[in-house]
Amino acid sequence: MQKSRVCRSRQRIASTAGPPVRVRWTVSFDRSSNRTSMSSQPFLNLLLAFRKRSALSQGDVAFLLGAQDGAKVCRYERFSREPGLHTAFAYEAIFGRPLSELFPGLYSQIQEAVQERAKILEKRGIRGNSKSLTARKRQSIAAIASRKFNNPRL
Amino acid sequence: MKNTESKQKYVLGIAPSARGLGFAVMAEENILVDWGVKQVKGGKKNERSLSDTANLIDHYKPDVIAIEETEGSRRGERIQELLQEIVAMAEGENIKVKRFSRRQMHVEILQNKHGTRHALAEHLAVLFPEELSFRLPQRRRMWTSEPYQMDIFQAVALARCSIAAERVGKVAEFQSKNMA
Repeated sequence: MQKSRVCRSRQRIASTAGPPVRVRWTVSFDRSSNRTSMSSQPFLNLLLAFRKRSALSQGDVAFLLGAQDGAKVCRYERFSREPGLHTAFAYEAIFGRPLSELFPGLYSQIQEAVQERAKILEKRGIRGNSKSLTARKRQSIAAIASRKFNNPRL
Repeated sequence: MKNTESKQKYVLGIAPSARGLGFAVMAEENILVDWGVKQVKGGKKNERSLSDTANLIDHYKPDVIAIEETEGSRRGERIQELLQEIVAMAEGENIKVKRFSRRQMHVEILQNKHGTRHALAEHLAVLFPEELSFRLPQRRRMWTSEPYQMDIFQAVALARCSIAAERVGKVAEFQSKNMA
């Protein structure tokens, strides 16, 4: 008989008849949602790496974030939940690194989207109340569209 | 403008041992993304180690898996079987597998083929001070067993060897193109 190579938790789900069992560690991510293709994009966030570097547990980080327990921290680290602005700044305060370094994948995704929009705005034609304002506006949008961001480490 | 600079390759180093398996996920620029030990106690160690490996592959989607070369070594039968199963699993997922012997690891990292595991670990702790220095175990005495953290260092060494080999391959490819 061929040996099964499926995670035990998933085996349990498949064999259970009746209501679905909630398993803590189901990590079958949709490849497209996490990293679009192999070796193409960085991880959405590096919270796990930074937490391990500081030797903090999920419970410790949860306490520092003001969360009830480590479950939320786990979801952030597994990319299944995006933290809000308060939590993101709390993370910055905990690890002492800028948000772009803590969330490199998310940052590059947003940065690309902004640049795309800036190009559309550029094509649409820019108008201001006066000539100098229009020139300044055009300059700003051109700068955004062509800006080379300092990409975070990952 | 498409961001091409962020294109990275990820390597998953796996170092199984009697207690479980050490793992390290490394990006191309020698950046450690994740590292640790999955402890496996009780029976069916290989099955459980494989499920842990499957979870790691699922989560990190590595481009390369680096494992130890057991040909000509005295590794236990169970570990050899486990490594073969990992290779089969990686092939099923279309992931490249690179194997390095202990000697290759020592030559690559310590530039000395007669190095010890502890020397390797000390060297890696210097290379990755933020990540690994506080995981460095005390030197093993003759009457003590291998500390479980040592698997992390082995996994990191494997991942690093894989990245170095990839770099050497790229340089050779570049040189051959230029020569032609």
